[in-house]
Amino acid sequence: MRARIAIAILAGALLAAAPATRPVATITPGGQLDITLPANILRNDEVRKHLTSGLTTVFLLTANDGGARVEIRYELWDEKFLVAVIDGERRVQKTSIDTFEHLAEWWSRTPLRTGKAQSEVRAKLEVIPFSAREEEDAQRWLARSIGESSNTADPAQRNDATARAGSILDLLIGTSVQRHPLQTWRWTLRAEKAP
Amino acid sequence: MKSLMSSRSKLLFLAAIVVSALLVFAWVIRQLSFISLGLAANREVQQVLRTSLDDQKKLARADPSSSATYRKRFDEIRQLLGHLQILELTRENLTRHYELLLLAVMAAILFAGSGLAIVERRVRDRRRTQYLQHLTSWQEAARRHAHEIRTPLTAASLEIGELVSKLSKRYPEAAPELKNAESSIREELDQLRRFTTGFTSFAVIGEPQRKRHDLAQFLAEFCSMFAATWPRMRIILEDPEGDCHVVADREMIRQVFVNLCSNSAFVATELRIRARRSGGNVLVDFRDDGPGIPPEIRARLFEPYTTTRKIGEGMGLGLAISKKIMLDHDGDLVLLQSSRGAAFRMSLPS
Repeated sequence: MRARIAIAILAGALLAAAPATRPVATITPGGQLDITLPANILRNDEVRKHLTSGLTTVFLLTANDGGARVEIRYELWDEKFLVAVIDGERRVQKTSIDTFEHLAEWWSRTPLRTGKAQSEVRAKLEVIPFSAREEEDAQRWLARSIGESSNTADPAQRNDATARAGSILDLLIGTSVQRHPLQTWRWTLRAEKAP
Repeated sequence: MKSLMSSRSKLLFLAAIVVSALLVFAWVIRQLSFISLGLAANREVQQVLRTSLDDQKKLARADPSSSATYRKRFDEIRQLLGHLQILELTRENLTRHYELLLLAVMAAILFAGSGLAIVERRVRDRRRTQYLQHLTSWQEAARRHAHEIRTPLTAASLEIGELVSKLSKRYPEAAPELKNAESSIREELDQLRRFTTGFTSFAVIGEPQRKRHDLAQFLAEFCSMFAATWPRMRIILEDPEGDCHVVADREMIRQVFVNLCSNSAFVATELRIRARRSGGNVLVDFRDDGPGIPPEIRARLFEPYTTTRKIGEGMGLGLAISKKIMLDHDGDLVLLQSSRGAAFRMSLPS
């Protein structure tokens, strides 16, 4: 009997020490919902590889009717992670972190305030590989590049048909260069009151 | 009945659409690969940019006084690298859009083709229905005429025999003259009977009793059997092309052959017949070396009582009967454009 109790305690201790693989949802004393995401999300091969690309990786968390956003960009000049958190109350918190391990540690201990608390939480996390501003910049750059390449032809030879085809191409690019999630996670969580 | 657009025109139209679509697509792909995807997909370009970023950093460390310049250049390169990375990330999306564009073009082609085929079929069906309705009223008129003529004709035929018999008994000396008169009247009555038979055959065109036949073989048999019927005209049966099996009423089709050959025999010295398979139909062309069909009657050639012959030489029902037979077989009989002589094409579903 004692041996069984000892095994159970050991297993409980091991489980407590193991890194969490699911988000933790807590209800604040003010009735708000905080979600803390596990570090294994950042350690996901595709996400980790993308984090150091120099583009802004956007983590879009939605929980029931609320949500929060984390933007992480690896600044290639300073070799630091620039992090911005925009929570459900539109508050912005910025920080810079020097290594990936520190980033993972910060990630797993930073609760994200998503909105009003509910006991059952349906959460979704989307990892978007670049920000809306970078998307617009890329679209503009591409449209400009195409415009320049078209202008290299003799203007006298360019006719209305070419211009129309160019507009169609612009439209196609405009609708094609769009953000799509690299990864998506979904969970159903039970929110616990904060101690 | 002329189809809305010939098969050849349709083929050319579709080919033009396909070629246009492919040209547009090729142009788009050229633009795309030239400008963006080619660069974005090129790992060497990205690697060179990354190396260049490192170089700017090293230069800034080596020459801190020009650090701001190197930083500015660094940011420019980083931004360019970012654009290429975004293009690479959205490349699949871009490709999918172009595939959708191509699919849309192909779907439009198919839609236009199908729409054209449906419109053509509807126009053909409407014309066919109109023609058959028109023909039905003519057939009804012919049936009434035949009936109205045949009744007194039969009575007159019987009465004339009796009359001549009675008169011959009363006036034996006039018997030979009476016999001659009777003979002459009977000839005229026979002529009138043939006339009504023509009406009847037009008025009562039965339903085809269809069976599977090899039309090429049937034509060969027809030509060898009927060649002597038109001694002044040479019938040349050309080699058939493809499988010429059809489901048709042999006797009715023979009647169409006879009508077409008889018409040609009046004016031509040579008639060429050629059978071939075309899609789901078997086509038989009849081309003679006669004077052809006068332009003023081409449009109403298949209407009953339309003829180029003198009065008394024909009633102008042969082509109307032939057309009706072919329509009843879900086929058709049409007049072809021809620079020399008359040319008809009969088509039968295989």
